[in-house]
Amino acid sequence: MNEPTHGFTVRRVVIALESGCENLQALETAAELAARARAELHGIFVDDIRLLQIAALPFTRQASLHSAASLPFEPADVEAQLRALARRARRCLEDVATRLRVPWSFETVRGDRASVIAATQGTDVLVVETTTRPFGQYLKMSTEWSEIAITCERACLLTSAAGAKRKGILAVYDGSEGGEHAVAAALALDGTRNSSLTIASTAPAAAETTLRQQLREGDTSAEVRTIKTLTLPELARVMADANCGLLILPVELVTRHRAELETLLAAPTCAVLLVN
Amino acid sequence: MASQSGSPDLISEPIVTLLSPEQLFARCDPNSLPGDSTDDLENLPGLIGQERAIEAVAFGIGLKRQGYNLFALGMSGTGKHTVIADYLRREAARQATPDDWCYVNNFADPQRPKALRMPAGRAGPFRDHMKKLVEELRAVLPATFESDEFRARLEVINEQFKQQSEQAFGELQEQAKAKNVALIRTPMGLALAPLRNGAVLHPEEFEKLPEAEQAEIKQTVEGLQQQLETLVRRIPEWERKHREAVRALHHDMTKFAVGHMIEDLRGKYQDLPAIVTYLEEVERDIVENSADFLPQARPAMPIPGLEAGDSDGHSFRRYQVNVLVENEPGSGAPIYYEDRPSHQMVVGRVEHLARMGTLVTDFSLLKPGALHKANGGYLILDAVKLLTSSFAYETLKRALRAGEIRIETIEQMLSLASTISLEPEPIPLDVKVVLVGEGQLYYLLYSLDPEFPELFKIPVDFEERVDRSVHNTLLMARMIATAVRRQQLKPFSRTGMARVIEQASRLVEDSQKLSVHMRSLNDLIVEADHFAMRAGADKVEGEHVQQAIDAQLRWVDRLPQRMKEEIVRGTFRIDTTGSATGQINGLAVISLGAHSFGRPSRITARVRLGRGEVTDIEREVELGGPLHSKGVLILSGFLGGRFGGERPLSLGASLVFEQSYGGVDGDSASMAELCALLSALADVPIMQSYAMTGSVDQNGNAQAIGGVNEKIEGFFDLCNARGLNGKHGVIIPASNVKHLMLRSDVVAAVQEGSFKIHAIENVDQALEVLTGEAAGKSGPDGSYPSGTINDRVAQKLAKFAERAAAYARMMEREKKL
Repeated sequence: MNEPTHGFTVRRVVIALESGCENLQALETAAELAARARAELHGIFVDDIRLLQIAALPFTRQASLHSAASLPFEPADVEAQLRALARRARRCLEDVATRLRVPWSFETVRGDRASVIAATQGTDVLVVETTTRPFGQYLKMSTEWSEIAITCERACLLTSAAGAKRKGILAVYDGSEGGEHAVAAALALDGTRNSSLTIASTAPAAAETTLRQQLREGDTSAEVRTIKTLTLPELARVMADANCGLLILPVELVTRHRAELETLLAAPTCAVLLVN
Repeated sequence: MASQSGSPDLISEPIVTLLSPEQLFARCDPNSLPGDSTDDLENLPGLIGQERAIEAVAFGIGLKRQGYNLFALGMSGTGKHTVIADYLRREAARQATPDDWCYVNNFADPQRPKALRMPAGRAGPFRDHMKKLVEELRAVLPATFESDEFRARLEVINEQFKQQSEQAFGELQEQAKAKNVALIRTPMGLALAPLRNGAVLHPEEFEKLPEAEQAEIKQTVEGLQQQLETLVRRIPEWERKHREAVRALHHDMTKFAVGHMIEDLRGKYQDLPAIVTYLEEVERDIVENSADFLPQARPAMPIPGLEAGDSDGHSFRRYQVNVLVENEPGSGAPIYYEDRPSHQMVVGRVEHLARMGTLVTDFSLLKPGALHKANGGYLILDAVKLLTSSFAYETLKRALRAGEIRIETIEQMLSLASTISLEPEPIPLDVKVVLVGEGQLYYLLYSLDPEFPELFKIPVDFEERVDRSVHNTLLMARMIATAVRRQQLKPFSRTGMARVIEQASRLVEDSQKLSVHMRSLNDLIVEADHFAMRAGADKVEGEHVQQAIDAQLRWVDRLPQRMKEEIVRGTFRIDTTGSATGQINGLAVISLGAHSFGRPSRITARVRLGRGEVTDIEREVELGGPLHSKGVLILSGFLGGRFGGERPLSLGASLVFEQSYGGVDGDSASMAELCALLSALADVPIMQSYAMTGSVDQNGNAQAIGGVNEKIEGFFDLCNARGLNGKHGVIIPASNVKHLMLRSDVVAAVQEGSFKIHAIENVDQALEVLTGEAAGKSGPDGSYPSGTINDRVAQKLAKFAERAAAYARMMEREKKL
């Protein structure tokens, strides 16, 4: 169990594993985060109850991604496939955790995504996959986890294959308590990530001044950039300048700018950490 | 058996056979040589007396037809290499420089590298141009693919594809949503599920629905399902088109980047269509494989042995130019001497690299052989080395027969290899091969290999000796001067040159000839220079040459000295004083390496009543060779011819080399054996102060033998060790007189009268010298003067015949009784 750093504490990194996701990239990200935060890595595989319900309907079939053939979709088959996928997910989790020397655990939860949230605690960081690629290289489908992440009242990391090589961290500070948490998380992760830290401030001038003062006193090398109006293009520009590989946003801010940020959250171009 | 009967003092010597000191050594008068020293003499181009060889070389080189290759035959050290190389050097300088040859990748079939021919001097620059091209491409192409233009165009393609697929799925999703159906990801693919209040319709709820509604939902989902399947089926096609679009983009960008570079090169080589064609193939390959020029991601954990492979330019090897032969323009035809003519060194080889535990190869690892290097010129090979190297001779013949050089392993040549290896395109062969070897080898090949006369039509036969004419003597002096200058030795004075010339005669054992064995003469010159240097002399004088000759003899004199010592000590019995009946000193020559020395041998003969047979004891115990047996049979023939005309020979005789424990061969002792036999028959003692050599024919005439100088010197050394008394001497055939080039101490002893050398024409002269008694000439009736040796032999044989007849009659009577 680690000590709080700059007010951001990670006790457990929980990764949500699903049958419809690739999981591997998210697993790597989650394990890396757990290793840096010296936290436990916990995997939760969702036995999606919806699939069993769909399979029980008399007319449903599934379109194979590999052969485009129409395949039978029977509850028994789904059960077997889910068990196999759960075993595979466990093995992958074990492999990556062993490699990074992270303590790990694994459980299977039958239900829906709410069941995953229910299985987590307030100090956990939930790691989820935001998009899936059922076909080829370019077609992405949203997993719709971002919707749940915004409302789950947990720190939630939306993973993305894009931006994995970029090292910069960008936190958005809006002067709120959530904004302070975002900065705290950025400072905490910056210390372990050996990366450049940029703070995009949308906060009032006074709050921003205070922040700058605090950063100076804390002897941090973070660059503070002022954003007058938070728009997606503006944020994208700052992200590009900061070589952003991890974007940290306060949930409140996201909620306020939901429409503006929806595209980013549905298919983020880098990992996004939402903090309360 | 030897008795000291007879008194040598009473013998009147037949002076006509006695040789004068002048006949024993053909001196070279220093005053007959021009100049004071070799400094005054011009160099001698080429060698002495090799006109026949040079004519053959000129003919063989001039005749540009298949099979007119040369075999230079002659003793080792006669300067064959020098003559051939000198001649070829002059000829080659006048001839056109052959083309350069390269191997390049065959893009259509890399197992069969292509051979490219280009004028002399252009292969090197071509290789450099190609190397530079690849280096530039490695810089230019990554930059091209990182350019804004490329990124933008790629982005457009990706976006188009993305939009196409997203739009199709989006429309399906919207359509499904409108019909209250959700597109759900399943473990195996995608499925469509009816929704109720935003959640998937529970099966139990579905069952409760009216049948009409159930049917409607089912119909809706099935309709969407069909659309979904159609959509999924179109995805591979979209992906293929996407890949093609990206490839086309790479192609366009690469072609643009490469095109002008290749065009530049094409301009440089437009006079060579084969190169232009090759450059077009290169351009095509680069365009098709442009991804090779982009930085490759290295594996996290590189596999040992692999990391230096593809990422470090392995894939660019296929654009390399492997220059096999590069000739300097205007340098003439090449002359190449291959010192190790193995299969690979003759025809070239395919080298391999170890990669990932296996051996791999490509055209860039093809290495030229001697035939490549000599192509268009001349190849000199040592015949013995060629023949003793496995398959090298066969390889050479195959290449000459086919008129092309085909690089292949021995396994491929013998069709033993089952693994796939390179099969480089053969290169046309136009070469004159000169094999250099001993004469015996030439004759063996000629008789045993039917292909040899077809492929090596010109024998270049090198003389080992020339006439010792005034002209050749002067040429020899110039040859000495040339060797002195070439090796930066002290000049040879006239006495020095004269002594070398005299030794040249001794080397060939002929006072009327000169050796042209260059190695021996050169060794003598160098060693004489060393003695002169040690003596602090300005010039090499005759005494220094003599010191060198003496030193050469001294170094190999251990065994002869040991033998002489044992004879002097009496271990080996050789009488050099007194007389003995049926006993004579024969002379043998023993060769040890390059040195030969004479060794006396005691030959004895015993006679008795018999059936006319002369028993060769050496042959009986299988120590005598065929030539020795032949000699014994010849002397038997002489005996029968001279004394068995009227009655059968009823003698039994035995001949032996006493204390001979090794083999005996040759017929050079047959005259001595005949004299011993006649001595035994006539009961006339032979003076043991003489030794004798020479063969005899069936008429009793003396015939020349080899090693006459060594034989005389061998007996002289023994007598000298025991003390010369004026009666010691050697009898040789008259036909050997011209071969005499005796040591100065032997000549001096003859001069002083303490040693004699007789030259005889026939057995009668020999007997008279050996016994001091008249041999006797037969009269008209076939009888010999009474008391002469021949008469006593005839009397003895007559007695044997009478006794044999009496014995036969007695046996007849006993038989009747």
